[in-house]
Amino acid sequence: MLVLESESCLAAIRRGQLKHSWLENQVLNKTPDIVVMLRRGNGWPVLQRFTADTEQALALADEIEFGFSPARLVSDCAPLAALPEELRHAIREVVHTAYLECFDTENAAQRIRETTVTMKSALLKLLDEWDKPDDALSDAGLQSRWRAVLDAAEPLRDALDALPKGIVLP
Amino acid sequence: MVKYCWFDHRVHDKPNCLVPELEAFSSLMTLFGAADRKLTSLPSACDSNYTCFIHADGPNGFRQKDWVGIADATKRRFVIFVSSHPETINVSTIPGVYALRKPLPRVVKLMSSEPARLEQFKRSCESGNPDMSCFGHPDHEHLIAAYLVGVALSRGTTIDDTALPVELLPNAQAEYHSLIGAGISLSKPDDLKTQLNLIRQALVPLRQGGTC
Repeated sequence: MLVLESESCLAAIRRGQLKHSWLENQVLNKTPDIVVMLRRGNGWPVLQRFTADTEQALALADEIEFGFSPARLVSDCAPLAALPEELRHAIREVVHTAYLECFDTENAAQRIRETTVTMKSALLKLLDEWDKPDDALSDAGLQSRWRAVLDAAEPLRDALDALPKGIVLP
Repeated sequence: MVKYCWFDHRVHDKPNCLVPELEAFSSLMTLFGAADRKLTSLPSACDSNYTCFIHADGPNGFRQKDWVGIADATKRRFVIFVSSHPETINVSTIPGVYALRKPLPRVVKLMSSEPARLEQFKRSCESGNPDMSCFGHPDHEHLIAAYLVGVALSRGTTIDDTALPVELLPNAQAEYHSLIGAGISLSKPDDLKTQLNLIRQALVPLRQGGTC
């Protein structure tokens, strides 16, 4: 699959942010011991944003069909701006169809949705434990729930990794 | 004269702030003659005439908005965010703030082999309008447009020869030559169908790199 780097591909930017800035740099690089240390220490304010990140992942799943489509280029590409709109529309339709033939967007979106739902569930269970008062908090419980988050984060990371990094050229 | 500096917040002693080293960042700053101008904190808001490269892979505590806040195009104070994952850099369109959306190893290689790009970028900073195109390949919009038209033609779309902009084919051919060298002739729309694979191969180097 040929992928074209494009700053206008917001879906690719979101993909990268979720995979790298969130999952790799904030979730997968933390062991259960570190999470307990954070909870018992100065706290971890960014943790409260993680469920919002799962919403972003679900939104990305909804964008996959059109977000990486070369049809976007027909609108963005200055040399094609002079074509009659009817012709541009025809080109858009054809290249979009060709893109769908080379990239299974439905499967990719489903995979993101399923892994995100699992991740969200694990995060909510973690937060249930995290939000307990100090004297009711169980380190072992927290570690176990964080391990579940890590187990959910890897498939989601892999699903995001499988998405294109830019516009797909058929 | 514009000065160059950089900020790499990578922290070693806080396990929850570990950020992998940004490959080629120090090499890039060496090219700018600024390897020894590594900042440890925000520069003074009174300083002007500097271009600061900021590692945007932030740990907890990285304050992107503070860096954005020091940018001031009128004082030729520019902030350029770099990252190991350039597509993740999230900056709004603010005067004086830029995102270098290219992998740094590739940028270093390109600027080392084409020093004129580095000089052009420096001149653009002096003039108050950093030219980010210096960090990447030339624009290949005509070649991309030609490819899309070629795909449509190959799938049966009827396109009147006169409907295409006159400059599309010659410019696409020129862009092809800039990437690959000679070996293609785009004099009529039908050439797009017959040489579609060649055009596609020429577009491969524009890929960001790595697997999808």
